[in-house]
Amino acid sequence: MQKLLNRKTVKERKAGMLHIAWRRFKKNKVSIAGAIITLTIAGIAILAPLISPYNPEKLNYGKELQPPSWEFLLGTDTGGRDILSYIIWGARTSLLVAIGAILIEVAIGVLIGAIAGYFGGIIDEILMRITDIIMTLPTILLLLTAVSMFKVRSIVIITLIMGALGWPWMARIVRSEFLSLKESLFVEAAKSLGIGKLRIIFHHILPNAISPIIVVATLDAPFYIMYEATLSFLGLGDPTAISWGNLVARGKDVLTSAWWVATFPGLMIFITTIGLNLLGDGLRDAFDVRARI
Amino acid sequence: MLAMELRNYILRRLLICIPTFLVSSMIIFSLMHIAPGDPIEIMYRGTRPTNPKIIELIREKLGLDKPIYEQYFIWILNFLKGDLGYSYVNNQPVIEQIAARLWLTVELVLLSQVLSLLMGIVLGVVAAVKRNSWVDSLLSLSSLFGYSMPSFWMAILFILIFAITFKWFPVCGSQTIGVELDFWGALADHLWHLTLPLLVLSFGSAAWYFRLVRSAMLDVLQMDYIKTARAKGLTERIVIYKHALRNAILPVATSFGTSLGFVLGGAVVVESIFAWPGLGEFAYKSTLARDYPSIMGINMMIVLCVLIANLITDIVIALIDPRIRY
Repeated sequence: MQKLLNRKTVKERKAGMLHIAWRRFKKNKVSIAGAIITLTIAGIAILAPLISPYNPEKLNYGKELQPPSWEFLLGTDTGGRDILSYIIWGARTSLLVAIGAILIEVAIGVLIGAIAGYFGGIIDEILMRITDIIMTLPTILLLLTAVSMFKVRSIVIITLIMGALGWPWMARIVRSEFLSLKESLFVEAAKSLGIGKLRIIFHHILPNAISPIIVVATLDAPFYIMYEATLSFLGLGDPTAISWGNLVARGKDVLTSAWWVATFPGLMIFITTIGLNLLGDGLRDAFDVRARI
Repeated sequence: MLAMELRNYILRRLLICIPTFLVSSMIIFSLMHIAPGDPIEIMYRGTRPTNPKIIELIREKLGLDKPIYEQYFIWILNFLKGDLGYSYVNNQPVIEQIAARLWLTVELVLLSQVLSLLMGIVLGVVAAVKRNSWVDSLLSLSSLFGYSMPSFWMAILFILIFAITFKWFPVCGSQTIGVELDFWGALADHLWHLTLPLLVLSFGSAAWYFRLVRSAMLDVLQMDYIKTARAKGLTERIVIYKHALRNAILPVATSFGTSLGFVLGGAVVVESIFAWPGLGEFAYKSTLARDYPSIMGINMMIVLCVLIANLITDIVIALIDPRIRY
């Protein structure tokens, strides 16, 4: 009976935390706007095959660089591709790249942050020094350097590289969470019960550090979208991918005669990053992790 | 006494730079050496010599036959002597090309940092003081736009609007080519070319500093010592600029190092688009050509710049924040 009661209170408390966060989130109109923008982009990405009017990669000879019209709502590019369809499918690429890179970032960042924060001492010192170094180096330059190593630049490789370079902030946040949580009573209790270190780290401390992890991941997402687009724009991305950056690059060469080619995909990147930034800020305030980030 | 403490602090910071520099150089070196593909293949592109004896000779000459740690020591010692190797593209010493371009990037980045710090701090204070007014909303919205806008797209829009449509500024380059100008004419011409890349590079980081200053100011303005200052009858101007800003500016100072890395990354993009012949454009061109000695040289140069900037930042923070004692 006693056990049952305890479990219920823990559950209730967890629901309470989420409930409070949601209530705070709901009150903030700006965060709701961010959530709506993000969900809309995600909806576009998921429904791409249903809502795009044309095949985004189909070349239409004789219809190159058409201005926006009823036939092509946002015009066509240098190969006569329908820009609206291309942008719709591009949402897929951008979001998949962001999700992939974030998964890698979380895996590496949580592991390094947890080890550094839990064990402390010389391990912490070494790991944090490396983290600081990667954090101060210009990410774009590191990306260029890493990308230059590969002859074939596929979207998968770019995603992997971005995630592999993007974890320092996550590691720092997780470390600071672990530093404060490892002193708490429930960790003491777990230790005195003889529970193993790994289990304490992943089973007892990590679930309590989940909200800052979510917030950092959300705030990092727009960077990955921006970096992938930048690499593609510079001609160092995946030339075969349907990427907003590739389309802006194509538009750059015809800027004087066809402004719409570079403008619309850029606008999509802009809107998506605004949405994710607002959502991230909203989550940070809702989970009340502002002081820690 | 205080001066001695400060000297020790600076010395200690300087000492920390050495392992940081070594670790960074190892990261850069190993990044280049786990790269798939044979360096000789890349050096000679399609025209790789077929005779295995000649290949053996080239490997020996380049030191590629030695174990990897020996290669690293040779490379880092050469770097300290100022020898960064030769470019695969034109066989010129990398250090000469970097020296020719370094100033243009330093100029662009320094000016953009000064501009964005000024804009960020002044506007951040204004927004925090007029909290929740339309001024605050407008500034916060602009800042959101500033850090959400991809810099390459902003550059393209600026070119489209200010260079192509209105013809106020040139599309690219750092000076007009083929025109004889006196000193002042050349300077004006240079600044005229500098305007657009500088604006694009500054907008994003100004937005970032604005955010930091605004939120720090909002926190500081709630503190008791501000109420005390007001109660003492100090003018609002003195309370805000002398008492509040001094504390609100600390997060800006501490994040300066990180944001410098960010701006240097932005410089790569902006320089490539505006064909501004600095280090960033060099990095871009070398990446396209897979010119490894140049890429490594640029990376090391940037690491040095970042380290120096961080050192200066640490000293500045110690000077403005008396709580940091060493």
